[in-house]
Amino acid sequence: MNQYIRSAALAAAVPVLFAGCGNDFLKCAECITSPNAPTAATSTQRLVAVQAKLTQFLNGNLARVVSMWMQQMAGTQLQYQSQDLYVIDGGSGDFSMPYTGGGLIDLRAIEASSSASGDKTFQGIAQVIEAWEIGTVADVWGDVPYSQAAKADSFPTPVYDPQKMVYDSVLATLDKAIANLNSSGGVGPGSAEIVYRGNAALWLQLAHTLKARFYLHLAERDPSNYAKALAEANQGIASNAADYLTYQTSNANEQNDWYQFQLTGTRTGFERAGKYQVDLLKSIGDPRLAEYYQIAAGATGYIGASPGQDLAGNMSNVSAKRLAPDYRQPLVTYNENLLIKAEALFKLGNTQAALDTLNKERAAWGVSTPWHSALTLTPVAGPVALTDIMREKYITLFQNVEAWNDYKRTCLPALVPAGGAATLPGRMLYTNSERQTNPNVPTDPILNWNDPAACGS
Amino acid sequence: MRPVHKLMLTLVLGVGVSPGVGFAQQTGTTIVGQVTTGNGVPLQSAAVVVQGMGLGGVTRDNGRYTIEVSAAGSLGQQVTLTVRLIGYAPESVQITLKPGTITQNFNLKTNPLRLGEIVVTGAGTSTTREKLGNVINTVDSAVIAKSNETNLVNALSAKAPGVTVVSESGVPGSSAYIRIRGIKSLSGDGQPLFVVDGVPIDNSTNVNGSSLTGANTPNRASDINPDDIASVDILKGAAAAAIYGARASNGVILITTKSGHSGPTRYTLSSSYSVDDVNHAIPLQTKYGQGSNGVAGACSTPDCSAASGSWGPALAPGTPVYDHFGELFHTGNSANTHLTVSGGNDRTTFYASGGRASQNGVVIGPNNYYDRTDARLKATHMVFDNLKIGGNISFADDRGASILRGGSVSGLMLGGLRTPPDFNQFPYLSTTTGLQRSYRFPDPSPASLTRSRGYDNPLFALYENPSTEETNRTIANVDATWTPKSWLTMKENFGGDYFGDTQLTGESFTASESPLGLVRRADLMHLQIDQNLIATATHTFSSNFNGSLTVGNNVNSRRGRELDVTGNNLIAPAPFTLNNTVTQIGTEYDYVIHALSYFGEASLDAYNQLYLSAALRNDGFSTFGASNPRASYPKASLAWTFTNALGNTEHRGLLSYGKVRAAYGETGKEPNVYSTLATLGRATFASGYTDQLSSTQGGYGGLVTSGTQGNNNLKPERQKEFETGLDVGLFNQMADAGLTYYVDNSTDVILSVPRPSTTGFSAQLLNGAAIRNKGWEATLNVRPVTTARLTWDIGAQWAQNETRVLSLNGASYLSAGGGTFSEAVPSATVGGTFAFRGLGYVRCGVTKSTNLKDKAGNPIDLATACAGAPNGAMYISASGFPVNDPVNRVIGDPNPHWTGNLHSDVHFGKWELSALLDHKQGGMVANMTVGALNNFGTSKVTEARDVMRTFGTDFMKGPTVGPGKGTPVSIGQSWYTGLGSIYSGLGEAFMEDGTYTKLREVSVTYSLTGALVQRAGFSSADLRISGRNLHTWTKYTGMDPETNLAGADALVQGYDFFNMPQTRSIVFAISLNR
Repeated sequence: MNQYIRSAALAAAVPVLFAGCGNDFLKCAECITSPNAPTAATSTQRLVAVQAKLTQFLNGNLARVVSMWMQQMAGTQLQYQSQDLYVIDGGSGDFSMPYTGGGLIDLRAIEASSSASGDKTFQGIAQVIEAWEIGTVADVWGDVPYSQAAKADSFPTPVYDPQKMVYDSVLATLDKAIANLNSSGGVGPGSAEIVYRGNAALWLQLAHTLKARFYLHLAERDPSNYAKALAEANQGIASNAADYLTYQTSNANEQNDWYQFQLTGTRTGFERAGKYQVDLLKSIGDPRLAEYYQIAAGATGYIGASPGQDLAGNMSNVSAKRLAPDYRQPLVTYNENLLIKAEALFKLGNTQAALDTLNKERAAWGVSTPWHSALTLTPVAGPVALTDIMREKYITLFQNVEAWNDYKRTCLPALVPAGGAATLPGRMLYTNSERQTNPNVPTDPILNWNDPAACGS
Repeated sequence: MRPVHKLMLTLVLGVGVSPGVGFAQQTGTTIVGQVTTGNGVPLQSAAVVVQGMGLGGVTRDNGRYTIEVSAAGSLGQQVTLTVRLIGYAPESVQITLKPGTITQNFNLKTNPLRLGEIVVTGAGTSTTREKLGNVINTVDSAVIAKSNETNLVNALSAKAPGVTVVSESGVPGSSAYIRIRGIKSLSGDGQPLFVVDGVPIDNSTNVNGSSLTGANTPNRASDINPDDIASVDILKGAAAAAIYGARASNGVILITTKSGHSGPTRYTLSSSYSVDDVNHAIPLQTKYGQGSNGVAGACSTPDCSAASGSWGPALAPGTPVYDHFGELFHTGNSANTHLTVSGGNDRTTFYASGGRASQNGVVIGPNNYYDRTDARLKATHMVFDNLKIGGNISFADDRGASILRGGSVSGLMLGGLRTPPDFNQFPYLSTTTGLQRSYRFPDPSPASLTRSRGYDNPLFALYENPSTEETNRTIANVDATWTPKSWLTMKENFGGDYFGDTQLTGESFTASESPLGLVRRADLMHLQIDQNLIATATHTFSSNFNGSLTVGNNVNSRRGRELDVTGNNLIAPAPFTLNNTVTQIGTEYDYVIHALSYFGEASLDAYNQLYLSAALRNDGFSTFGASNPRASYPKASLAWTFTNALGNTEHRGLLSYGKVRAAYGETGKEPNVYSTLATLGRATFASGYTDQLSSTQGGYGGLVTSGTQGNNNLKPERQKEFETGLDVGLFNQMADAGLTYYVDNSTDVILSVPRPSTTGFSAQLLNGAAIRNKGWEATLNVRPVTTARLTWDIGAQWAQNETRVLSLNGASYLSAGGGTFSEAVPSATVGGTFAFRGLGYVRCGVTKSTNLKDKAGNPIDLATACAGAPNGAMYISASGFPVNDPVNRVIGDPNPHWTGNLHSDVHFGKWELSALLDHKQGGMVANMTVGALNNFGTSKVTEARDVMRTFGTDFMKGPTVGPGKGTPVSIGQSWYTGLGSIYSGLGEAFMEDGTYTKLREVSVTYSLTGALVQRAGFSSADLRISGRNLHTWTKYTGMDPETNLAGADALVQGYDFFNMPQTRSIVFAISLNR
């Protein structure tokens, strides 16, 4: 009998060994949170990534294609040759970039977190970037998701808001950003914000310039926007010290995309200087010719390629200065702000002030900045014409997506469409992956709502 | 000589030789006897058991056994003495235990249908074979031993219908892949769960680096010494495997290791030696030299780059040419030694073994070996008459070295077989500079120390780019069986499986994959702890009804870690250590999975002919989505021995035995660990081309939301399988046959569904796909001769499975599983199956593209051209050449139409002769090796170049249509490097029928039991000569259609891209028993 008791005790001990098991066992910390990837991040960690992605969005493939269409550059091989001739499909992933990780989804997370903690500076900075990115998506693609975007749990297939609605929302977001930045609440990201180093005053100026920019994008439909643009530009970027330049260094993965694409990648012969801008700068004796381009090996001067022309040894590449790995690309500048003012003043009939502002911008080139050398541009003599202002802006906005937005509004400068086409493209196509997954994607229109008339011959 | 032998044996065994003394007490009972066949032939290894006392013995070579019963146990009571032996019907007699010696002999009847044999059915449960309502195939130790394989999975090749084994290659340390009844999921490797003595173990294959280029690595079940295995039970369908719930979607391999038995201590020393060589070479051309378009492309200035192809001029007579295949290989060998000592007394049994297997592979050089040293101790002890405890611990130490493979430009075959016939690979180091010379870089200057060679000289790859691996593995368990009442048994099994695996790949300066040198380290750890507690109650309701009820609980924990560190840029040429590199990049992967499950099983036997069984398992896994924390898996089965109902319980006559069976069951596949979670991570932002920015900038760490949206609703995938079948014995059991039909519907199959990027995510895992497998399995065994001196068995197995992808959540196709390369992507296609997908030629009824144009730009009117033509007819443009179809399509189906095998055993006196033929019918193999070699002009087929051929007639034979039909064209470099090249993405031409017949095993065994052996101190000795994979009949033009580049680490098998070769072996084995 004693035997049985002992064996019973032994057997009973076994289940007791596992008595701790239960739901806690299945919910062990390492079981339900990944030890390999964080499930939470600080706003600062998200913002660093957001700024890098903003650079990649505005200075990567999109800028390269726009530079070709604006004939500042030319596609000289394979895919870039055909894109230069407006053969485009929905294969580009650029459309997705502002929405996915490092884009709107993380901006919304930063805003929620900084709103909860009362860090209005941080919230304002995130709102400026959000408006900038979504506004740019609206510039390029027209009707795009915004009200339902990056809210996957509620909206698995976001609707496409009309472009006007997107611009209105973007402007409202910028208003909120300005209010937050003006409130001086919170400490913000500090120097982890790698461009302005957390300086709320600089972000405030950027916010106003962006508002001015988006008002201009609405002006073809409604000229009353010129006055609004002017009012914003007056509070916009007030000096080159407040320019928003991409953050680049010589370190791997921090290098300028143009450096990587033109010099170190596997497609180094795909773009060369565009004939139109090279010839334009030559014809007006503009010193920005040598600032932007280099003399081609095997040639004595600057030679641009016609759209889609095959790569040849005597074609100029981008200048060594602008192909440095640490060259900081200007995205929104004091110069652009002045030229927004000049255009708005001109449209509002104040031609003298427009001329003065134009020449103020040209004079600003006389002082070197991180993104250009000191260059002497002769003042434009009056009377000023819109072509003067838009030509200056076209040259200033070298490799900048905004040059295309200006062109679509003004059809200036008078580019001859490539390859015998009647018009230049007015927009990019929605990306294929979105079309395959979201039934709300509209049929691709020829032109966006804010651009009622195509430009061309 | 005699004393020397005895002394040697004593030394070798390390124990005193005192057989027969045992531990018996003088006042107890000694049961002795002999077990023989009906013809009086002694039977060894028969287990004689005293029922209800846990006592037993095993017969020796002469059929004799001894069981000692202690005085305390010999109380004059009646007990049942039962003898069991695989292949014979069990026999029981009643004896009365009283002090003294009882002699009890047995004559066993053969039991070809293995009725009454115990079959392990799952977590601590077992039944007898005739009661099974579903198929469980059992492979016993003799069959495993005869295969002479060091990798247990290879030993299962052609042993059960519907169980497919694919050996990656014949080099030591290769993996072997096992699949049961088709592909049931879109993720994972599709292999069954392995369970050793009740403890689930890991059978992963972990290649250092990419599985398409890294050195070969074994599947981890190969850490188990096949010589220690008593039997393998294969739970094939969901009905059989339901008791393993969410881990059993691909079936379960239940391994039972050998045990000791009471009685005199037994010793077995077995030793084998095999010689191995490559079974088939790839034929290469020897008539044309390096160059292009008939112009020589060699170069001889320092650091010049020579032509990559062999499209140069015809070699002048007398030009030396080299055998670039044969020069890389020689005859390999392997030696395997295994010693076991086992025995026990009335309360204690033990089994101890140690083994060493050393394989030296067929590749020349020092870096092609795999050694396994292992030891095991298994013991049981009867603490009380109703409580038995046991323990089992095994340890294995594996060390191997191998070479980069497949697509690696620093690997063996890629550079080796592309070398022009006129280039001498020897010496691989320049005699002037000591640096690597290769056919594309023949004259290295000292300045080329860090320059790529294009492709490495294969000898350089062999000697200077070594990959090594060391693994230590322990599998152990302790168990207790308590029988408090005659009707109640409780079993507890607690076990663990641990391995640590250290891998190192070094690439020297000038290695083409990393000319600056590289060190790649991988450190893996895996630990699995499993606890299983069951209680089984049996009850006899009446003479016609009895039943049992089992309830159980299972707790399982798996944790693992992998650290991969790549050191770039060697500082000094040696050693290969991270300390000797300029930069190091590391990644880490860890996981923990907990599972808590309950299960129950009830069975009812009625009228000794009707067997019902039902079971339910309820699983809680930490890998399930938070909204679906638990899942249940039911099963039910019915078996009816209708011949018993007909009164034929003695198994006589024309229909000597007959059983019909039907079963339904469900199993699951847990989601991958952490796949339900949304996470953040580092990112690299790229916009289409080579430019990229990191999410970390200016020294500030950046994180982004991952592209995959979390899914708390993720459930395990579910397999619902119905199977039914018939087993019959015929002509007094002289023949038997079995037929099984099954249909398995896999639902809730997890796939990554693209999400609109404007949601912020690019994909989400969903339970959205459905796959169906159905098939037939048949076996037939005939024993035409069963006399005392001569027995002859012949058997056949056949299986056919069809895999259909029913739904992919709206997608029309999906890339699934590893093995991707070039344009041949194994894809699942709705309505189709797992297949190779890529580009092919325009063909009638196959090409769906519209607006087709030929090379000259002329539109193709396919509809008109194809009118009246057979499906698949190739369109020939006016130029006489086919046209490529620009849209990817299914170009090859790797699933075999059927598989089968034929085996035969003849016993004649002390001789045994056996053979096993294995056949696979159909199933495409992607022969990208020959595809690439055609492009480079080194394959034998390119020796006929610039010859006029007509498509469809004497080139790529088959029906053709189109304006150029019948037009002869010149086939040469422009075809092989253009429209006929895999580098133009055209994989279709290299999809080859992978049908093969292999002579898997053939062996002759002679058993010595005579005076000579006994004088040497042994009771018997077995001598065996075997051949393994001696011959392969196939039309496949590559090395071997049984191959897969990604090894066991891939869902879809059959990808050949510079894989290592298969081997054939002759094995000499001797086994000494005492």
